[in-house]
Amino acid sequence: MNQILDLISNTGFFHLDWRMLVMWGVVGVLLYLAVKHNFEPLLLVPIAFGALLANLPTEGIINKPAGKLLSPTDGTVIAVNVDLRQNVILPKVPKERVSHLTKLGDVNSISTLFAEEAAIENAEEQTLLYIIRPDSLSEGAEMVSVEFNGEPLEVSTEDYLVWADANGRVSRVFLAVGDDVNKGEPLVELHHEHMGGLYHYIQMGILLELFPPLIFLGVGALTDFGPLIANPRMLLLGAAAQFGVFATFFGATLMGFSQQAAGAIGIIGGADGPTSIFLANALAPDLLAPIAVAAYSYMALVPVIQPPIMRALTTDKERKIRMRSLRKVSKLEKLVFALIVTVFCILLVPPASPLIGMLMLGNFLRECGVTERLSKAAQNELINIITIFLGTSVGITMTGERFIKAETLMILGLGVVAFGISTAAGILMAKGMNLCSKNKINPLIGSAGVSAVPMAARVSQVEGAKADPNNFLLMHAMGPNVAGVIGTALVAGYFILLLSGGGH
Amino acid sequence: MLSASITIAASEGVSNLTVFLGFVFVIAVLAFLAGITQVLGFIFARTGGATAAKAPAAPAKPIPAKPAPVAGSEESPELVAIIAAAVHATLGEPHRILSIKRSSDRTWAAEGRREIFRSHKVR
Repeated sequence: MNQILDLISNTGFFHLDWRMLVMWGVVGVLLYLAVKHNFEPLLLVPIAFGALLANLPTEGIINKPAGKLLSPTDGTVIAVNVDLRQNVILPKVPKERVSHLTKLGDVNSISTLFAEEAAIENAEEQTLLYIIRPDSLSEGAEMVSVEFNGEPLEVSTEDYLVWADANGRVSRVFLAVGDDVNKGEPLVELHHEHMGGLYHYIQMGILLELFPPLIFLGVGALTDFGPLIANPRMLLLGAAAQFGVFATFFGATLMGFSQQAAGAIGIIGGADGPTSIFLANALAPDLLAPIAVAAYSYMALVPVIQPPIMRALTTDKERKIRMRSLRKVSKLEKLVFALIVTVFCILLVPPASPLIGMLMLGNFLRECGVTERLSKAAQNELINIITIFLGTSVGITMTGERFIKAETLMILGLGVVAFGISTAAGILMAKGMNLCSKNKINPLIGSAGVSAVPMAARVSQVEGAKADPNNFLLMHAMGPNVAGVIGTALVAGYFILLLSGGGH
Repeated sequence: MLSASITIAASEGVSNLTVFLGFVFVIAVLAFLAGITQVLGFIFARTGGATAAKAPAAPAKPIPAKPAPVAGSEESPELVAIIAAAVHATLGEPHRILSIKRSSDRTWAAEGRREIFRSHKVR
């Protein structure tokens, strides 16, 4: 009888919690949108499935390998709860842990946290291993009396907590109470035969910032810059559409997000999935999941979000403007363009180099005409494989605990605002350019400055055709569309240049 | 990181300026890039002028010229337009379509079938 009970308690059912069930609902909605309504299914399906895996008590998917735990700051060790040869056992369902007490904010929740940790009877399951006090406390720091490891302890509201992140046996303890510690210094080493789950390694592609540039290689191989080269003014439309990014950045800082987080949220307005992930990982890794989901869902919703804004800002007459047909661009010109953009953009914004460099490499492979096989691989196999990995990796960060927060709703809200402002800015820029040019631009293509390629350009075409069925805007709209890709990558580089400050 | 966010919170003016400068910066960079591309375009138009300048004129000429000779045949105007467009896309250079005749042999069908089979071949 006992064995049967054991067996039952070893199944996953006892590890479910309500957040997981809510997330199953979210997964259901995403899958419904993707499968039934064809909203960016290539991205939403992997993301949604990854999210489903993240919200099941899985084993061997996201476990981290045992290894050294590193100090998050310069400071002093004030408490240690670890002995040599002791086993450390993580809870079945990974819990989001607070690494810095400032994130908890108030004194009460700090007391609760320590009370919960003290309530765990089995010492092996207590996973708070080190408490470290940073060298300089700010004036606002308060002291809180808590019980830790059976003894009373004073912690400040700015202390750092180091939690075990993998199962294992303690093989070495480097530091004891009272020792000085430097940021990045090892505290303790754990050993375990199992070396981590599948997605621990695949997710490295995001953490090490490999996937977004590789996606850009494929995007470059898929992009024809011809329409842009034929009409370089379109670059300005792509630039104008970045206004939403900056406006949202400003809005998000007002709402209390840090500048780093605000930058990562704002970039949603650029409507470029890989760039959003790239920037979020660099500036605000905690917010990666909601930002990626917002970016990709709004890209999918381009045909819903953009048209009302486009109609509101243009007159019927403007929508009927026919644009002069584009000249032909020679192969050599495209190649020179790729090289110039690479050199110029990287010199100006070095942190954008992984994105711009790979984008233009892909484009060069496409246009040079002698590397057809490489270009095809980048356009198809490579980008498809990376999309599967990237999508599921993003999905797997969507654990209920991390996702079901007021913050997520704020990010989704700010994202749609960013998107709307970007759309509007592109259209207004086109109207502005019409004031001082005799070669008129149809303002509908301004909205294509958000870089959701080629969806945004298609929306311009559809809206244009509604006003005048014989007006073909698609090729014209591709100009600002691909300019938007370059623009968003530049903005991302600019934000990293300005805001990371060696912080990541 | 923490000290940075505190100092920033203290001076909201910094973030305002950041926003403004960033946008101006991106516009300036892309405007400059547009300038370079425009100049590049002029250079290419001059050197490769012979082909580049005439290309846009080409589609206009053959289309009005064509219906007359073809009028006698039984082909629909849509088909004629499609064929003219295909010829233009393939040749690119100025041309005149004199006649469109149905071919009796089945080369086209055979060629199409060959393409399909070839696409299945494992290389």
